Amino acid sequence: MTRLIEKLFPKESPLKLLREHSDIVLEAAAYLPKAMKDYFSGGNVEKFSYEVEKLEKQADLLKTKLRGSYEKFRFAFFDRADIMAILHKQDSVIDKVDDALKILRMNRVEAIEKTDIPRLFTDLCASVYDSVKLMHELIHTLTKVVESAFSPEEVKKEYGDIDILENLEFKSDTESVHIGEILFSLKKELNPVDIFYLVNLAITISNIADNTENVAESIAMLLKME
Amino acid sequence: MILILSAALGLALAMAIGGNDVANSMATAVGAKAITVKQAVMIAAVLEFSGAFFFGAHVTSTITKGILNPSIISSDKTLMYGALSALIGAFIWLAIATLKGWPVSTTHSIVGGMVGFGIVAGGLGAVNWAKMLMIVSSWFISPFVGGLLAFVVFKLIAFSILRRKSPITATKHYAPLYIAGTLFIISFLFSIKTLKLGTYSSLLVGGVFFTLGFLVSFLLVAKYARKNQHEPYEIVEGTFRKMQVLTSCYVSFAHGANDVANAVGPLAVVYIALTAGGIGSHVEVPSWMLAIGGFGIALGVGIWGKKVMDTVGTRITTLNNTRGFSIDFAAATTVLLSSFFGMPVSTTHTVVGAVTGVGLAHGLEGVNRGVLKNILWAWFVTVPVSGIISGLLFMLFI
Repeated sequence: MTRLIEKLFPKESPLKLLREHSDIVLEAAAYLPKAMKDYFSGGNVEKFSYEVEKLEKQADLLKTKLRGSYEKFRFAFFDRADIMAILHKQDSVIDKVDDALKILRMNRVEAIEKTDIPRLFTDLCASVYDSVKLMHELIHTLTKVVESAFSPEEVKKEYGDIDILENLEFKSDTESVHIGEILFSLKKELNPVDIFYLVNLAITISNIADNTENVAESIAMLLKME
Repeated sequence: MILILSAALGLALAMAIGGNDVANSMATAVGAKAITVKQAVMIAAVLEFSGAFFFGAHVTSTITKGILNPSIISSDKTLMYGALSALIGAFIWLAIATLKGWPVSTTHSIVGGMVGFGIVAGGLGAVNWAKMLMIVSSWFISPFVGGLLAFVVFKLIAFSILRRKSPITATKHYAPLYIAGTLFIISFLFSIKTLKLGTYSSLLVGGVFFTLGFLVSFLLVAKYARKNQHEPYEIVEGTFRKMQVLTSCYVSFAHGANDVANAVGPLAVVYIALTAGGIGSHVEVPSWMLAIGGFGIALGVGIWGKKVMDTVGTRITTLNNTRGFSIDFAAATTVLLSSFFGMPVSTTHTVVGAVTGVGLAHGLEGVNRGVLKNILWAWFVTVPVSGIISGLLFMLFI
């Protein structure tokens, strides 16, 4: 009866794959503040976009692996559909980072050096990156929740982080709206195409935080079901 | 000549059990990194022999004297060639199953082999069907009990330790109880069945081991928790990693106690037929025969066990120690209790039941449902097929 027991267990832990996916998302999101800084100082942002494209491919491979790892298994901690929903939402984060970097590649705005716009975008990127970091933390501590057999203490901590993430998302949202307000207040000084371009950029960046909040909400749902 | 051939086959089967089945019974401990492969081989070699030698007589008696009706099969020649057919039949079926990767049990194959030759030799009446019903029931009951016990043990660990506000303090309080409980069961069953002490004396022996085990482990767990400054759950898992060394010994002992019968049961039939002229209930299985079986298992572990366990150890990556402890404790207790009642059960299937139990308690990342399905069909196929092979061989010999 060779190696019967080893076949009982998944070759790779689905939660570990989810963690690895979140590591890639975090790595990709880390390029956003750097790219934004380089963009406003007139540097080249294409290299960041290409790096994120590469990471996206790695994330896709992990997605396929994770989907496969659940196929034959029963009695998992979480339902396959729930984990796949988290993965899908987590993947949307890297997609949005990619979108934001691609938008940066499309156009160069002019005459904003003396305005508050670069600083506001830098702040927005920092807030969004914080929310991705917290999402990454939530995914990692999910393993701890599971290891603790869903200890009320650990679940409480996870809920606490979910609340913080929701606040961060609200902050990013407010910041992007504020950027829009500033941009439209400068309609006489700036090129209208640039205004719409930057508004679109702000909305896209703020959507990253939205997606991290979606991941957090899915985790909250998962914990409520337990 | 037949005795030598049977002894050689019995020894070879014992070695195959050692090289193959032991890896399955130790897989969870090696996979959860509680013990290294080298330690697993050493533990298995010593404890498998001990289990076989001190506790193996009961199950061996069932295979030797319980399956067949001695009043119908009384001829020495029939018994000797029949037992030889059962051994070879089981060997052939196990070899085919191993080549194909089917989850076939050695226990089921040997029992099937004995039934097969019995029916050919003496008709349906030659088989003790009441005993067979008990044996087959035990094949269903043992994975179920293993699963239930593992479910309960894991839930107990979860509620007494993992879900507590301070898991480290809870570990200090409750982990010694689990260790003491394990020692109680082993010492109680050993006293009552092997030392043949009375119930009260055995309870007393069990009580002494429980108390000593509790006191020693209380000090050791407290020292371990004090010395380690890791995260609380790392300390909990670290403590259970140490505890799994004990349950690994327990699993090995229980496995040796139950599975030695597969190798030496038919051999004992040949020996008893030659020396006592039949398999009447008054004849005891000699200790030296259990020693041969135990030695064969230990030898098999030494020769092939390392390679098989190396693979197992690197492939089970999703199991941690609290879960591993629950599985090992449940499986070993179920198998040892089965041995206590003389029931030849599959240790591997019991481990599978225990893994499923922890899975149902939401303790695992998942259990492969394909393996569970394969085991079910293997149950239904093994006994008839090994029985047919054994029956055909018997017809050839006679």
